[in-house]
Amino acid sequence: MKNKKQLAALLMTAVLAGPALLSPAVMADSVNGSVEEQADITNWVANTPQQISNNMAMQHINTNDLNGTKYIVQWGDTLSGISAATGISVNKIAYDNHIQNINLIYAGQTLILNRNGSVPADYHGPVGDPHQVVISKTTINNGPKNVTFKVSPKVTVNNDNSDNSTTNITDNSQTNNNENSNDSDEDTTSASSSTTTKSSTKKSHHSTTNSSAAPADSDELASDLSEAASNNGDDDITFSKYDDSDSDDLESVDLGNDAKKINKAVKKGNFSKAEKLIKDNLDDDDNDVYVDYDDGEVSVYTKKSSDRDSSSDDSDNQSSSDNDNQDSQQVDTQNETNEDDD
Amino acid sequence: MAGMTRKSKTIISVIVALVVILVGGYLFCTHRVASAVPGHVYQYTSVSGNNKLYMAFSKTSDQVVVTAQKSQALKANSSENNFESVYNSEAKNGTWQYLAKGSHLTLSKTQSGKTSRWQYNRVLVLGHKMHAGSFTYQIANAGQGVDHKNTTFERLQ
Repeated sequence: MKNKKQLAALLMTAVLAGPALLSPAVMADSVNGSVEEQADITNWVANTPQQISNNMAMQHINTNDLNGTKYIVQWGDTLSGISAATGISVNKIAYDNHIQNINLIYAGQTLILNRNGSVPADYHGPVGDPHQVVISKTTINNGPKNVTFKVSPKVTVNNDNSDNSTTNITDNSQTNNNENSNDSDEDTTSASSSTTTKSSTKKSHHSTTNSSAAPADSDELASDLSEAASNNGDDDITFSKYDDSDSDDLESVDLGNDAKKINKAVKKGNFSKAEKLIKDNLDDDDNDVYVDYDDGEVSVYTKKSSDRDSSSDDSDNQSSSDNDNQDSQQVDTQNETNEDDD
Repeated sequence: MAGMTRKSKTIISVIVALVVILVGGYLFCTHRVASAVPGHVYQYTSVSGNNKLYMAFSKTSDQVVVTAQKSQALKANSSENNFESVYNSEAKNGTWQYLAKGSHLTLSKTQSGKTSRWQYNRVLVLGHKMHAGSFTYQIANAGQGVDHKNTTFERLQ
């Protein structure tokens, strides 16, 4: 009789406490799923604010009472969508959650939603597109490392929103190779592989950070190379856009035989490889790198060695007499690039 | 062959005819996607079966509206002007293009200069439904591969 009472009490406890205990786990599982489910196109289309509100309701979140409330990010969520669903600005969400790069928010991540408080005036906000859907926590690779697209539309990218100029960046048939080891195969382009946000995140061995598109300008190239440097573990190297006004302080880097490979890698969107090649041509103390991208040609600049030496030695004497000798010619890779084109 | 009875010949002929019809029918149905898609709205059901998307394929261009909102997809298909309007309003979430050829249907999404693609393979068009035997994907900042899972597209309009 006593055993029956104990069993009944246990069952009642399980029934009452079960939903409360299991609820977060269920929501967390809903954002994992199999590789097939993660790669499904439905996960990569932006949720509407209404859908996000529904997701919040499923997590027992009252959007009218957000005071440090935790929300588990779902597939298809965007920061702008979460902002619209909650009424909290993108900057406020980013500030409260220490988000520096919007493109690194992943499904399953917990966000703190807080209506109270304000964003400091000097807060510049995160980088990235708030309309970008959240990424996967782990690289989604299933089956072969190489994938073949027998049919693909010619992708058109608007270079400038102010006019209607467009650029076609892909052809009808492409094979995509994660390892990018075959430079001679013109049909082989890089594919984006891994963007992770935690050290515990599982990575595939061929993990590289690539984009499937060539950059539109120097600014975009610098951004892509910075991201690649970060993923390659070269955190000490920063890439910035080359500006003509800084030319007096900069010198071009002789890329030698790698110039052709770098142009090709950038053209294919394989910034991981391009970053490694550029790094191979830098001196050990070349940490601030400036890149120029024009007509498919990459030019790399670093601070003049005299500037670096003087700054590192805390010397007030700027060696201007050597500058003329140190002004080297910009590496012209255009001809090599043209030879290499199809 | 000379020693075969008339009955055997008949059976073999019937089997050959059936094989030709089945193979021909299969090839016909797997090569209809190029004509089945333009100018129509399809409802896509995810691998898990839990999620749905709506796709309005332009009849005159390679643009496609891919949205979670059925009303938006139907509106886009109502006229060319509405298509342009919906396509442009959804562009902030990425621009979508498509190409249907042979037995493949590929959808590409471009956002922030990066492109993701899903190619649906062995697309079988049967009436108002299209069934894809697998899909090849390349997703920006996420990964790439081939999933051998069936997915379904159902024509709404």
